[in-house]
Amino acid sequence: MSNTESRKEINSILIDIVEKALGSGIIGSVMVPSRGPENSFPWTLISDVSALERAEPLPPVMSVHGAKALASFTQSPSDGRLLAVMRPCEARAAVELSKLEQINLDNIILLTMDCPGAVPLSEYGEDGTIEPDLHHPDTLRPLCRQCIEFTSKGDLCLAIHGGLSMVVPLTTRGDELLDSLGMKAESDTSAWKEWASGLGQEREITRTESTDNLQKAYNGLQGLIEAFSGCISCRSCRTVCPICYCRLCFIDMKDRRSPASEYLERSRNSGATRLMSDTLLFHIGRMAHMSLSCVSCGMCEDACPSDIPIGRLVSMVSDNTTELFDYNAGSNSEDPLPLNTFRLEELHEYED
Amino acid sequence: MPSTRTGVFVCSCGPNIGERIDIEKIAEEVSTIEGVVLAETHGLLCSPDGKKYLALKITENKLERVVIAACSPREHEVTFMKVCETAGLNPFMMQMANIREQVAWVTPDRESATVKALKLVRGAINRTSRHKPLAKTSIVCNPEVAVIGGGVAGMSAALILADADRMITIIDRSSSLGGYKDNEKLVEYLAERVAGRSEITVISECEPEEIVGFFGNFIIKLGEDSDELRVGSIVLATGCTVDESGRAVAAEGFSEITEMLRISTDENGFPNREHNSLAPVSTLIDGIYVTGCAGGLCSLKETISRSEAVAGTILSSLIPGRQVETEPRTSVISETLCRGCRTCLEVCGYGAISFLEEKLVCTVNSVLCKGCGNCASACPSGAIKAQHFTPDQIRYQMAGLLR
Amino acid sequence: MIENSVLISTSSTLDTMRRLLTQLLENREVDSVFALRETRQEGRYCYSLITDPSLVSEVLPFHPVMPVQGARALSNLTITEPFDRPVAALLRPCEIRAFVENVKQSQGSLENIFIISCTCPGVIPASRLLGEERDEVLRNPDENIRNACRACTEFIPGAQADMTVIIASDKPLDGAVIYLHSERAVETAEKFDSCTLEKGPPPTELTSELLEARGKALKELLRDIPAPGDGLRSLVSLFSACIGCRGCREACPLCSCVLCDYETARTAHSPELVRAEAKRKGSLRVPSGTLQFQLGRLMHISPICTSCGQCSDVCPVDIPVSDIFIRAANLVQESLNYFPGRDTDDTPPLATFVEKELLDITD
Repeated sequence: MSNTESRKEINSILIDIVEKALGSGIIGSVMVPSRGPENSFPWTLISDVSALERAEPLPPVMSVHGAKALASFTQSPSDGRLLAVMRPCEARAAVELSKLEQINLDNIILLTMDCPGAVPLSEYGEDGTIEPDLHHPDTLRPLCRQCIEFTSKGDLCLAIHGGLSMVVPLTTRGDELLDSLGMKAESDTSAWKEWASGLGQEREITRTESTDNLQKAYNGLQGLIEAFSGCISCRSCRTVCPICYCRLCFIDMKDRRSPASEYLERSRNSGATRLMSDTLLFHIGRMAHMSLSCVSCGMCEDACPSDIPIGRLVSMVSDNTTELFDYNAGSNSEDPLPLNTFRLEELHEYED
Repeated sequence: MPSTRTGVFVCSCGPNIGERIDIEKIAEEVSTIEGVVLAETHGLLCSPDGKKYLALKITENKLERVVIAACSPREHEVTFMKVCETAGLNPFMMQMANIREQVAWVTPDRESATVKALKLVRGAINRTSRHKPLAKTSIVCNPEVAVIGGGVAGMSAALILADADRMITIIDRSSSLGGYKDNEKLVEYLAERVAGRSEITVISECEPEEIVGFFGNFIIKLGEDSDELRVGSIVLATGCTVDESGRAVAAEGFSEITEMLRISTDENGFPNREHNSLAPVSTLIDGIYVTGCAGGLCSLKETISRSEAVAGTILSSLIPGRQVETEPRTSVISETLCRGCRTCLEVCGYGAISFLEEKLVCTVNSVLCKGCGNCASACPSGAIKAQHFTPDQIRYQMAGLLR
Repeated sequence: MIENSVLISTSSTLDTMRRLLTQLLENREVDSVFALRETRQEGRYCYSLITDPSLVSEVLPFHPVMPVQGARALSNLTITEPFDRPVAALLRPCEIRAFVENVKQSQGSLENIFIISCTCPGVIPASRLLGEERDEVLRNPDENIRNACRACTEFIPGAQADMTVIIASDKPLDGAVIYLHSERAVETAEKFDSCTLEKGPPPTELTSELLEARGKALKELLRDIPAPGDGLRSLVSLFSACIGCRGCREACPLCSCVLCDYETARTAHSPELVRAEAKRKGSLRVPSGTLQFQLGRLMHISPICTSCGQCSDVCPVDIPVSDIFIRAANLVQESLNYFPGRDTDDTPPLATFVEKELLDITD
């Protein structure tokens, strides 16, 4: 089966499910990417079955992060039941955003799929012919190549590997939806799980290699300065990040403005000072703020006009910070956010 | 940097500061800073003479900012704020530099002590340039009192308050007053007296469902059908109980009340006190007091003396017609910047923050806010500003320190 | 008479510029130099505020790149207070114009800034300098410059420049040619050795062919971009690929709001409204407000847009943002008879009330 066909298959199965759920009134609306003009794939909130004609649940590129799209209209509880069809990393970010009170998941069901990854925005271009191919990493975004959370997220997941072609429920909410759609099927998922663990292992290797390379290339503070030397302060990484939800970023606060004399002083210290200033402060500050909830979706890297490996850098930092708190972003909606939780023993760890 | 009329006063604190730091040099050095119109030393600023001198200098020189380099603000900030007020200057335009505890007493070398003190004073001068006058506000108190728990502790507190013509409501979950088993005669006697007082209303078989508000203005919801109870102060007199291991713990259902009131408790469920010896019947929230075994197992004698203390505290603070002064250094939340993540709700120890469902933002009740700044530091969006401790003010202070 | 005073040097423009800047710093005529430098990473550039004369050797005056718009960086420097000692700033004409607009809106100060500008040949989009083709691109800058630069007819600096270095010209020059526009510039030049001071032809005479070519390109650009009659549908289509990164706004030297109006709670569509709209229409693009943002920014910026092209440069999905802005700016500025950055004394059109305007509408 070619990539185009496999993506086509995923799309048609997903559309079938959505159509059934929406048509029967089991859900009130669905959020799903649709085919827009000029090869674009905007997210759409659909309540009319006929609008599903343009739906493309698994587009070849990621234009806007699904969790960000979802957060734009779900901070207050939704009245009817909503089905959101999204990639695994988008479902994970949705869980993080619900902990940050930006999404109210009460009436929302998250449907994911075995994700093949996405094509970089810059390479997709006007012709729109490139297909993301699981087996050809060079077709994928750098973060997709090293993604280890490519399946089994959200409430249900469409499994198409390991000889399966069925929706696997992952939570009671997912179970209930399948039940009401009459789609509950008992099937052996062991081959699928084997596929996932096999690919996961391959990806782990890619991930480790990538981390090693990054650490070699950008060692220490000087290395980080070099990594971000091409940054033009467009802040796109921040704006497209599903986790960066502040209206005004700390770096842009008026309180932080410095007088000209201070810049001159900085310049005198080393002979010259770079402008715009505080590039590194911005990136390190952003990592400090969001790395615990980072889902390694790679939106930041895709949006960077200066080709900085920012997604890989943030993801690497996130690996370390989440390990410190024994936390896995988006894996469990019950796990409290580490920085909002106070544990007495932490104090002892620090004091001893 | 500061362009307003600033006065700097360096206190010798008798020999305390003067012997360890060259205060004349500090006055001389800072006098050249832009905006500083006056920099003088004084032997003991907190003395009556010193206060008179300070007030005179403020009015004479039309000072708009005052920096006092002296002891810890914990010791005399209030003193000097009052002086500013009497001299017609908003007390929040004053800043202290602690050159006694932080310098004179800990830095033996005179020269480095002087350098360090100078940095602290520079920081303070810089900081005042970003100060803004804050207004004190006050609210009229409701003099009525609610007593939760109608045992010996609750009844004795209510009776003393009734003697002072206060209106009291006792809320008890059982059908009759009393609880102390060892001296039924005393319980009977107290219950009879309570029944004979028109100032005291007893609501039995009832527990509070929701309590909102603050010192002087609490609203207690007692159930769906019943009216709201409005009081100025709440006395917790719910007694205690003994668990399987023989340990005295807070009474059943007490944790729900403490949660409603957002008062913190110790490991046995008893409320934490404002100060264990200086304010043993006051909880960490103004206007909420604890008496009898609700504050931990105690004797009958102790119970009655605690109730007397509670009644005395209420009578001296919740005076009819009195206005309660609120903290001016409160936090404010920018509706423009707040994303409604509610992190601040978790860290507020005073129940001062609430979430507005219709606007999807949080808001601070300025009467409840004590200005601790927890929320401002926890807010990931920079939407909360702790007044008088703004990033701008702190940054200017740092710039002065590091120059 | 300063008019058409020219400093001529036989050594290359790069050498002359570096020597000039070194002299300015060494003689303490200026405290610092604001100019482009290459960073430690090849092909990455940044503006720097330089105080050490020995670092001037790293300066790349008017190298054909624009990592950030100079006006944005200068605003950042001078927004809280002006420079208290002179600074030499190397700025392109569009950067000067944008900075002048910023100063009009109290977002910076021209005080103590000694402006050295150039007849601007244009800049190369950053993306073309990242790949392997970089060397090839740099060898033929004229063929690779931004769309906005290709159609730029305002490439000669205006009255605010103290010096104009001739970089773009119809015929190649031997050595460096620098026009002097102020007393200060002449004083500086007089102290500068190994050069001659002459009277030259007006700089426009050196660039008339270029102006003609640029004018033609502008006409073509204006013709190819949607005209007023093309309607909403074509705009929807143009911005359909927008990923909402807001890079265009962040890169724009004139978008100086602390918090963009379209990020505030005031303009955000409430969750209830979005859900109700989706129900009413059957289908709705989310997050909503893509076109609202783009049109809003167009409305706010088009009267003062200096057509620098920075917005197109940062767009990760290649939307021709600056072409659209240039088209709108052309229409709006023409009709308001306002030309951003031309004169520091012209008040911004939306901050001015002309009584006649009222008659225009009521009649």
